[in-house]
Amino acid sequence: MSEVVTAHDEAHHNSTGIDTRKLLMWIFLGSDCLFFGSFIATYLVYRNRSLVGPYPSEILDIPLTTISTFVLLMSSLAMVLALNYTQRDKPVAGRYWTLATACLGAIFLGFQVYEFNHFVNLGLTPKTNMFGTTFFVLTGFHGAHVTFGVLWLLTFAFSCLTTSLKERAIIVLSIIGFLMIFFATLMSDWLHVIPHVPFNTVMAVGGAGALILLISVILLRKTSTPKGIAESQTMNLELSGLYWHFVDIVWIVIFTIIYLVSAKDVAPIIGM
Amino acid sequence: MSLIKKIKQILTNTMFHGTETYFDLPKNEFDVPSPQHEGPFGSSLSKSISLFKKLTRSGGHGSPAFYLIIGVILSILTYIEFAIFYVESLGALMIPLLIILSLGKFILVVAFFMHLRFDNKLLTYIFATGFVLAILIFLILMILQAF
Repeated sequence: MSEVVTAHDEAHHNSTGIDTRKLLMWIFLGSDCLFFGSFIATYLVYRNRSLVGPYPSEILDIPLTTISTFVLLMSSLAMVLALNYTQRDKPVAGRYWTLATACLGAIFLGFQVYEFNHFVNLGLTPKTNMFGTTFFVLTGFHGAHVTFGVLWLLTFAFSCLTTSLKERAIIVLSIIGFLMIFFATLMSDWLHVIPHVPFNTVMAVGGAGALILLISVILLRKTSTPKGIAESQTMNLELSGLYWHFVDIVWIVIFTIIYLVSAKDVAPIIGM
Repeated sequence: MSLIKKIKQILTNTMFHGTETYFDLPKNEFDVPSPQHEGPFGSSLSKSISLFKKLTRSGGHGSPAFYLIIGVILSILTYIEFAIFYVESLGALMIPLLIILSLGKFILVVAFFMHLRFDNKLLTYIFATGFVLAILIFLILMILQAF
């Protein structure tokens, strides 16, 4: 088995001495810089050009976005710890941190779902004004990247960091439990993203989800994964980590430019 | 005349370790004055640089504690960004400050979380090319918009 893995790994090297997959990942990230750079530039070009409201100063919520930025930064920290523990031959800790990264990413997505829903309720849609168009396209594409990253990490934890059917079942259970808490939070009276759900239903879904998550997290502490499996998956985890950190740095730029710099923008003075 | 000579000798003996001329720069490693780390900072500068290198390059990759410290620094920078958003007196200084802080966060994540500091330099050049091109697109758009 180990010989096969070694031959497989050696096949990925080239004259640069870097793993081909890693090289390709960095080229992709460099090109993704152009993708997001174009959207951010478009946002700034059309800044202060909305003829009708709502304007950024009326609806952007800086404290809320700071919290979601913090969540995404912490998910990046969890990702780097997942890779570090996997490299140090501690597959259980590595798997816990991988799942924690996906959970924090999903919490960030929850913040974004709430924000989009809130903005639409306040009358800002992509059709409303230039701010709406550029804002929703930029943050929407970023959210799509985060969604893809969460799916990638969950699939990875499910398929590559496990060996037995039992472990996979436990991971699926933990995902189901987390999703139940996620939707219960969105249904709650406080966020009101999914409206008109009775309080008892919300509590039942949330409580059952928390219980399932707790049990599955406790069950995950014992593993049947041989150490070699985690070792051969290090490069794959590193690639998903690179993607995840890239999504994080894009959000660092978006948080500064879209939220902090232009949050005080009001209606433009017409006829300059 | 003798007084000036005497003063000069005292100065050279006390400050420059007996060497006659200060501007006679060392040409090779044997010319370097025997007490190491001569200068205003003493050995503190070179020691802190070597400590930084040791911390960030411990066996190719950092320890979990090292990444935790980076995470704490990132959180503090985010909090500072959040705090200076509400400082009205900053005025036009706010935007450059925010950009510098976010650039610091960007560099911390790219260098340490994405391991660019530990990795092959080629990867840094590839990513930097994409980043610089993105900034160029941004600048060209802003210039075109002005006309």
